Amino acid sequence: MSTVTLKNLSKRYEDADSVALQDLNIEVRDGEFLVLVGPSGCGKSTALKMIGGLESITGGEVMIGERVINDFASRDRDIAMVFQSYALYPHMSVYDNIAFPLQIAKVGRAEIEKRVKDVSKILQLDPYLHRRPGNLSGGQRQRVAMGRAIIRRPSVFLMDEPLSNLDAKLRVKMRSEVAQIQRQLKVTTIYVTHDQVEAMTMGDRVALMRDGVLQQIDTPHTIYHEPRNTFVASFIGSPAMNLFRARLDSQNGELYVSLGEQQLPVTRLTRQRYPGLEQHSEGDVIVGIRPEDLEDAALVPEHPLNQRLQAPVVLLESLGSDQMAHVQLDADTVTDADDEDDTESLMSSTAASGICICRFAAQSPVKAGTRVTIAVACDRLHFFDAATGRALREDT
Amino acid sequence: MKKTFTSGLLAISVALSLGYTGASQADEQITLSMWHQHPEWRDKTEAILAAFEAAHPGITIDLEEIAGTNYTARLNTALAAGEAPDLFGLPAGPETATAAASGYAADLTGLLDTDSLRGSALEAIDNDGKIYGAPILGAYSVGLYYHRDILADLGMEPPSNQAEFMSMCETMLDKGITPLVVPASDGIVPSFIYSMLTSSVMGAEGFTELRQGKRKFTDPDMLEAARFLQDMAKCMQPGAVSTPYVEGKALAALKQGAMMPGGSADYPGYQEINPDVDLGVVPFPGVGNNKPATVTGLEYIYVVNAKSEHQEAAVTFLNWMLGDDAQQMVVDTITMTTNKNVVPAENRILEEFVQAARVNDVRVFYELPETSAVWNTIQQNAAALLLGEMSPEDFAQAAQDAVKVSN
Amino acid sequence: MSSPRAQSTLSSTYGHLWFVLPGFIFFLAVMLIPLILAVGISMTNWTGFGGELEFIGLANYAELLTYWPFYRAAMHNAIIFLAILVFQHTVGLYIAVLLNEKPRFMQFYRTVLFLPVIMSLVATGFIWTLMLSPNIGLINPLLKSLGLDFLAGQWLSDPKLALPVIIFVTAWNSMGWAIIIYLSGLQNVPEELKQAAAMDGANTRQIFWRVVFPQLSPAFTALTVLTFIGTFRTFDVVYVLTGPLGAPNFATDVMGTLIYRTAFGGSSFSSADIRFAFGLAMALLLMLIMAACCHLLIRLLRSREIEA
Repeated sequence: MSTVTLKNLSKRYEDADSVALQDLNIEVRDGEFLVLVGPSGCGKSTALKMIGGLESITGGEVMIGERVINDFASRDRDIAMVFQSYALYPHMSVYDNIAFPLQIAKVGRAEIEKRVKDVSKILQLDPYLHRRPGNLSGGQRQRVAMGRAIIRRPSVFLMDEPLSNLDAKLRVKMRSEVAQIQRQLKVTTIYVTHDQVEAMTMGDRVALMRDGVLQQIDTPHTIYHEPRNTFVASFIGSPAMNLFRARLDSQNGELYVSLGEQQLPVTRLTRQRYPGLEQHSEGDVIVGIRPEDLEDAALVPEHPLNQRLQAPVVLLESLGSDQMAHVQLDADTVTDADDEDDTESLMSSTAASGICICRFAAQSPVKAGTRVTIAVACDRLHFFDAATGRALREDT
Repeated sequence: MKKTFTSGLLAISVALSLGYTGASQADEQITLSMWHQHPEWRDKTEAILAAFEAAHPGITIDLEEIAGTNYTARLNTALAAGEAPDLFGLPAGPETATAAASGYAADLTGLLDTDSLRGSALEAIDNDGKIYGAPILGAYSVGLYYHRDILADLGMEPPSNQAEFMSMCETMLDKGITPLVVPASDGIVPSFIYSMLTSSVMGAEGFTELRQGKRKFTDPDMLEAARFLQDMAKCMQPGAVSTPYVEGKALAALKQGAMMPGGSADYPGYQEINPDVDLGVVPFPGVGNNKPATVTGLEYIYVVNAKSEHQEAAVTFLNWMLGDDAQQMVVDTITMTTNKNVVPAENRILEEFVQAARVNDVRVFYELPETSAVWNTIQQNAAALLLGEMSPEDFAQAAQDAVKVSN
Repeated sequence: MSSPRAQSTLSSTYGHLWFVLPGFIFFLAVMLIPLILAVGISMTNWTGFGGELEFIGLANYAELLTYWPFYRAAMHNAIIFLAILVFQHTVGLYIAVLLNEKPRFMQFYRTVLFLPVIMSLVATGFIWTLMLSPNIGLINPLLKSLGLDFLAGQWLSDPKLALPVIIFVTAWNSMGWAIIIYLSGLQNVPEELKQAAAMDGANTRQIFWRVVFPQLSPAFTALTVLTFIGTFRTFDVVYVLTGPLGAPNFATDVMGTLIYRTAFGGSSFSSADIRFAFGLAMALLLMLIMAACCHLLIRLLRSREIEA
């Protein structure tokens, strides 16, 4: 049981001109489940491999407990890792795969057998112990990989996208299993994924990275509700938060945000959540609205009349439980690129767009091609600096 | 259809006009294919063939040279497949007889102008009154070459018997000179040495007796030949048993040894490698106090393929080769003894060979049916004898076992 | 109904065989028919010369059972096989592992090491004979100049050294195969597998022997079988280095030279010892034994390979 501390951890490849990882500072608490999330190429796997000793460290320190382990070989770090490909030894039975770390450590035969039995019970692998990995399903292989990691009772688990090779249904199941096992064993875990759903559902805390730089590290709740910048706001949540360029106006001490011709009030609660708004009372900002904060006004007649927008419905997607209405607002959409081949376009706006996604209840009678009145939960609006994309939470 | 007709007419008219102006044979150009196993004589054979073609404009000879043991393998395969050339060389004796019996060699009896051949040559190509091959390249003798300058520097005379040879060998070894160069990798040269050593013991009459079963390789005096050959191993260059023929020839020509067994036809080869080479020839030293000996055989005799479409032209070629002009060229350029009484123009080496062969000359084993298999046996066992892995007694016994005694 | 005529069951089941036909005809012409002819001829006493032959059944094969040169040659082949096998699975593997670390100039090393494979053995063999010659060779003078006089030898004429020299030249010539086959095997081992083993506590040696090496078993099988076939077919090295008689005194005689000599002759002066049919019987018996051995080898080695 240990903490993992990353101090200014950096990685620069000799033949690349950009840094793969820049001054990463994270303290993982003992027993914590930390998820490193971000688009591909953000440096999360690099960071994980540096912790595991599979990549050399070009700057900063990695500490487990109180020890700096930069120069330790992987095998001396007391770390276990689960790989995306599972990296099972194809020539060994499931039993031998799980027992391998103990065999290497020259643990007694009887002890190995006992511990493999224990692990296989936890992972429900008993019937497969004598099969070879080639004869197992994806989920079973995944469990074998887990088994090999947990049998050693290491002080830290590293998991590198362990579920991404599974089909969607199995992934949901394994998600909870992995989280459950971690909670049972209470081993400090660093889990890398590009899937924000995994990040939100599994982690005690989520660290969101981009281009080698840590964007925000917080609990899933905080990172969802208090995103520190537009990138975090748009990466976490599905569908993503709607972000528009808007004008802030002040009238009689009240703040209003204008989306084209339409205005929404900035409520007191929102002003408390975003104290930085006070410095921007006249000027351009980026306003963020989560789809679930937009409802068909027909279903909430009691909603304040001034917290409404009107817009034509361009497209309607029914998910059964609710409907996704794509409406056309007279405003510039801000896309904060979350795909790797578009990193240049940070804060760029596409003038033509203005599409806003609303999550309407299934009962909504709205039809595509008609105009709809939208009830906006103005208490839950998000505001970001128009130039830097930072949340207007602190006075910056 | 029309085109065929027109060109047919044209052909006929051309043929008619030629018919009046030229000889009827000249309108057809004949190409004879010929296989031969001496690439090292290329310049000389080309000159001879050019002379033939100049004399016979209608016939072209297409010569292919195939070196060493590959020759036999390729020829036998080609014969079996019916793909053999119009003319090819074979060892006189049993080999030629077998080819004739197998229907490969055309019967040339009465077609060749053999009148001027020496009796011994005529005898060698005669198979119970039939003649299948022409000895166009003459005969060869094998004796002992020595570097005259090396021996002169040492104040030595070439050896004539075993004791002289062995004492020269000791002296030369002491001085760091290789006494004898023997390429023994394929066993051929040691077989010639053994032939000469046994010949020195038994002589020509003894060879006849051997074939009749009255004399044996295992006779006490004959056994000494095998012993001498074994003793001789230490006089040979290092690695003699794996020295290939070409390497041995080069070593000899480049004076890396004082003496080497060799045939009359080897001389142009030595000269080609080392134009300044100064060689002399003597018969091979005798076993004990026996007279030294040489062995003589016909060079491959030339046979006409029984399946050839141009047998007539082939016979024309063979007869031209047997003529005086061609034989003079063979004698002068390839340094052969000849089967006719053609005298080489100033050739000391050949003169020395003639001298050497006067002492005690015996025919090579493989030309005679009784001892044809002996050749193979000694060739295969020579290395064992030289390495001391086989005793002289066993060696002689194996040779004797290969003799097919005639009745 | 005017539907097209239904395909007959026959053509739908075996229709694809038409596509195999050209290949099959080729196989028939160059493999099967000659093989059948060879079997037929091997039951005669044909010398390869002339038309005289008699059917003698399995007499040639029966004679082979007590034909000492056959066993001697086979034993030399077996020694070459075992030595080359050990060499390739040790030195070849080791060099492949070194190359797999992607050293500087790797392309260069790889090319240099593979070069002997693509060069003609007849040509390189000839150069070897020149180098090894105790009279004109480079090797003995080189050893002497290095003060290693005691190592200088009559490489190809000493019956104890000749076969090892043949093995050495064969090893030099065939090591490229071992390296390429093992290198491709090594490159197929996923990096993550090695990383996983490292995380599991294995040191470099344990990673290689317990994780990487077992992944190489297909390469091991391929190489072993190829080496077996290659060494039992050895001909050119011996023919060039020590001649058709496998000098000295047959110390390097192998099946290749024995069969060649028996079927086509080893002397340019006399074909008295040529027995074509007997040579064919030898070749066919060798082929049978080799096929059986290959089958066993493959079954044995495959069983330890990883499925899937």
